[in-house]
Amino acid sequence: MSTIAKQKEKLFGHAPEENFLTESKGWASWLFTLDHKRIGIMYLIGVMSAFTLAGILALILRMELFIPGEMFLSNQNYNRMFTLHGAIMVFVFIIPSIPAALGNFILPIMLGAKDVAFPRLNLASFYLWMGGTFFFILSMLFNALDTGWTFYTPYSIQTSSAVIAATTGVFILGFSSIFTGLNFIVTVNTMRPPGMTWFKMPLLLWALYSTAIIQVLATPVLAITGLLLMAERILGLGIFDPALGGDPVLFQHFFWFYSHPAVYIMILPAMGVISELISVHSQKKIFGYEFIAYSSIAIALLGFLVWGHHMFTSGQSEMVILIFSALTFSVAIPSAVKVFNWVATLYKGSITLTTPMCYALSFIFLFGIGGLTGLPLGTLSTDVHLHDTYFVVAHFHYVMVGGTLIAFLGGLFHWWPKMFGRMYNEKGGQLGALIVFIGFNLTFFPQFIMGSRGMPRRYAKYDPEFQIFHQISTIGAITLGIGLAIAGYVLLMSLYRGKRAPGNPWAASTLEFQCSSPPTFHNFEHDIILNDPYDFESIEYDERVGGYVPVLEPAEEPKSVPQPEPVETT
Amino acid sequence: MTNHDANHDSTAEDHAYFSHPMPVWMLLAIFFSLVFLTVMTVVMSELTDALQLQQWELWISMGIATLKAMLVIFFFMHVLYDKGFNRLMFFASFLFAGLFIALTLLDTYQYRQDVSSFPKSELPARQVGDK
Amino acid sequence: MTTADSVDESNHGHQNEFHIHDHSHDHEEHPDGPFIAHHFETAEQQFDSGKLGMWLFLVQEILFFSGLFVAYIIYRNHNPEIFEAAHVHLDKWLGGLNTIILLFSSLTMAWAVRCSQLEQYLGCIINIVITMVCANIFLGVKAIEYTHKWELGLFWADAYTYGLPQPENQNYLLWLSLPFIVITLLSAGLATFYRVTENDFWAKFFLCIAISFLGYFIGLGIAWAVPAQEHGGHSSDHAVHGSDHGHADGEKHEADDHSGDSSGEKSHEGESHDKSDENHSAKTAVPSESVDTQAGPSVDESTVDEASGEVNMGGFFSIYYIMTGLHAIHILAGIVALTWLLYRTLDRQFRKNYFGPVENVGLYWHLVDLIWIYLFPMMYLIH
Repeated sequence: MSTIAKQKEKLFGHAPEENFLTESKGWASWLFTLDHKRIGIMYLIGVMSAFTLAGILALILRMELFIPGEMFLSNQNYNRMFTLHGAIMVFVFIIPSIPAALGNFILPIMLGAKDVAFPRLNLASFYLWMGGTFFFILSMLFNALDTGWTFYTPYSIQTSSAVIAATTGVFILGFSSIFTGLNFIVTVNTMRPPGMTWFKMPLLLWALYSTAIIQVLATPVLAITGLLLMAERILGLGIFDPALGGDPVLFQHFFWFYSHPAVYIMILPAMGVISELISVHSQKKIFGYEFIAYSSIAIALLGFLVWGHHMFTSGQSEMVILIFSALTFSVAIPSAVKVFNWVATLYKGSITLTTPMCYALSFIFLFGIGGLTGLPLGTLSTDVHLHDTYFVVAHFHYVMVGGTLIAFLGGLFHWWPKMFGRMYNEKGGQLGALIVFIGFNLTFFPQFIMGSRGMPRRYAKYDPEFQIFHQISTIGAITLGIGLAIAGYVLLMSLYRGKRAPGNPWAASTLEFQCSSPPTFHNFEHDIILNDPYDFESIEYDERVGGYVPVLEPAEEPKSVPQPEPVETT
Repeated sequence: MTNHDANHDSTAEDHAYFSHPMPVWMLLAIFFSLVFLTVMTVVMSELTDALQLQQWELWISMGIATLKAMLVIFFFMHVLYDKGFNRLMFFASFLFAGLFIALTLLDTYQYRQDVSSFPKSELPARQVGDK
Repeated sequence: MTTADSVDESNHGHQNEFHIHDHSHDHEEHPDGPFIAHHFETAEQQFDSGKLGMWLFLVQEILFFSGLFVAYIIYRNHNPEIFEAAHVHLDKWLGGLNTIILLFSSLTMAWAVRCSQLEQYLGCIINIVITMVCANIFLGVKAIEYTHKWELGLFWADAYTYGLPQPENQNYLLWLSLPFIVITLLSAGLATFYRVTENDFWAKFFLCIAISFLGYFIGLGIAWAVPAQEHGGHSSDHAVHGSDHGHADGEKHEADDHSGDSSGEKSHEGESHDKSDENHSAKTAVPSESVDTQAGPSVDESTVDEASGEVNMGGFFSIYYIMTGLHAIHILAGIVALTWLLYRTLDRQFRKNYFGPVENVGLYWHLVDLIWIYLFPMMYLIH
């Protein structure tokens, strides 16, 4: 037994007796924690609860649509249901899902840092998220919300539903998102370890960084929009209200100046996660690292130039439509760059169909469809036909669910052992991924057909000719629900029955897999070994450790372990 | 630990490295320039009609305001001495605000008629719509 | 472990060495001082992080306000006649005075930052208190401006009742001033209490707070004194360009009067304005006339009361109140932040390698000033 092997076992083999989960106990130690990992876990529990709630609403909606006429939801209740489904999914679940839940946990560890730059702000951002969600729940209790998640004026000024509670929620959630983004930018800028230059960062960090830029630049406009809408309803300002000389289309500009970049807040971190998953689970250096990194920034910046494509039928001039339409197509370039790079990474890689990889492959396929169906919607002539039909619904569900949710699940399965120190049942995870994939396509593919044949979105009743598509879609939704339930069950069961996870179960080369699973309060019990994040040559399997460890060259032997004190004492 | 001590010593010596106190004369000079510009912009608006500057008034006022803003940004906010990245961030925000304003203003005239023809008195605000 | 090793490590990464961390010292004080958080290596790293964070917050603030600027520009482009009519109700002398007060507070804020960098304890406290006094003077002047308009019925669009009989005994000013009166009395009382009980720190703290909030009443006094000048200034204003149109304060604008003065006064202006004014006067005369869709900005019928021909300025005041109101809320937030600084400075927490909070609050304060620098000409000056 060489000293190197002993050293490896010392550095990577042990599971410390205390980790961030067990380091302190009691409710207060969680509620007032400043530890980014615990805040990430709290976010995870929060967003998953919101997702479950909004998912149940979606299932109720699909049930109602099983027959053309009214089954059990009145038109008014249908409006409330789909509004809450959309608003909760977008504002409460998707936007914080990857950055705030996964990102909070992963980002500082990927940087080899002890915490994010502003831990208290991080906790504040979580409580703002709770506050915003509270107002959404409040709006559900008080007459709900029936404006659609877009709050378009003048209807949102006139309706008697709880617009004020909901916009307060949106306002607060906006600041939660801004603070998360602000924290990430500062953390990446000032807390990178010596030697980690910008182009040695894992691609997830690039993606989270680009996302953070959008969060800081776009979200304040949502805040002012919400504030003005509230003032419009309470005081009657007349900025958006045409009855008082205001301009309702201005509201759409305000709303989409945020909400289109928000689409990239949702998808960019997902792309970052996929870059990690594809590379690690095919054990191949990511193809075109710099292109993927730059394309993240490009998407973030171009995302600010295209909001008008949501307003083609609002009365904009042809010239503006032309400009926005052309700019919209330009976003396809960096998105395609990413997809090509992922596919090129897979080429001749040693692909293992682990659960995260199953999700990553689904992502490429589904995001491909979602992205390509965006092009007819960005073209004026086809958009006039397809606007506000189920085609749009299917398109953005392919991007939001097929893209973000799938990547979120993939990332969750990828980092789950890191978070909780337990391996899940691989077979169960794969089965869940497969059913999710089938269910998803069954749900949303028929909606493309319906939409192109003229089925409008947001309708509680429909013509019998669309019934077959709606029925397939409803069956698909139930399948999707079952798939997600299996995935959730597999993850939760792992906490009780899963075997202990090694520090690095995936042969990944990024820094978060150098610390123990789960990490200790300070993340790293030893100095980090800075490698290329996609260099899988420098990782090898170590049987004594039961996982993968960095290759230590014999030349380093004499210098290593200067203080051979046992780690367990810390 | 020794490395922390080493860091401590170096930072304790280099504390001036990251603090950049502004000389008092400079602060006062900037303040009096700002006051002068404020007085000037008020006087200009008083004299607009006498000097027949109506069509330039907007640009003169906003120009003076921008000059004042630059003085505040560069000296009071130390941007002149700040890190390049902070400077980039701050000015980029103006770029994005400008983008928002410019693209929104691009075609408000196009649909203005539709907005203006919205029934004003028949549909009072903040009532339940009968849709 | 040798010193050479550790320097090497901090400079050249961790490629070749592994150190098992001993975290036992983390619960103790950071070697750079008590206010350096455990996850930062040095005081400078913490300062840089804090400052970048504040700059990003300011970026966020600018985009937050940008929405209001969009609303202002659009409303102004579409309804130039409202701005023409409304601007006589804004007192540019009070506005100018407030501008100078804010600029002065920026000066003292920048000075406070300098003092904290040089560990000039007393200078820092004096400058912070002067900044807070100025902030309160600003709010006092603003309170007079607001209540003066409310008494005339110059509210936002939906509540606009200008020219109509106003309800009497609306003690707007009293309600606005109430929080300031309470805080001033309370902190004066607490200062006395702690002086008597010989708790020096809190006595000083509350004395400073009481002095700062007295600024509000100074502001009220100044604004009360200035309207006398305002009328003077206003009449000279009339002497310059008011011979052909005579709106005095509170006077009703007659239909023919207004259309006459706007077309007469602006006949020598740029082309687009001409068009809008032609449109405007034509529409005032014949409200049902169809509108030329190709010609520049049109004028909403809603803004002109067909019966009296009076311009409904509610739209302008909506934007005025939301912009200056949000700005005032930022001033209030600034006062809270300055109070926090005051506490920490009195506690002598700032030192040569830890003055980030003063610098960052300063940046925020300058941004609030910056926004006012634009609001002032946009609201008070441009005709």
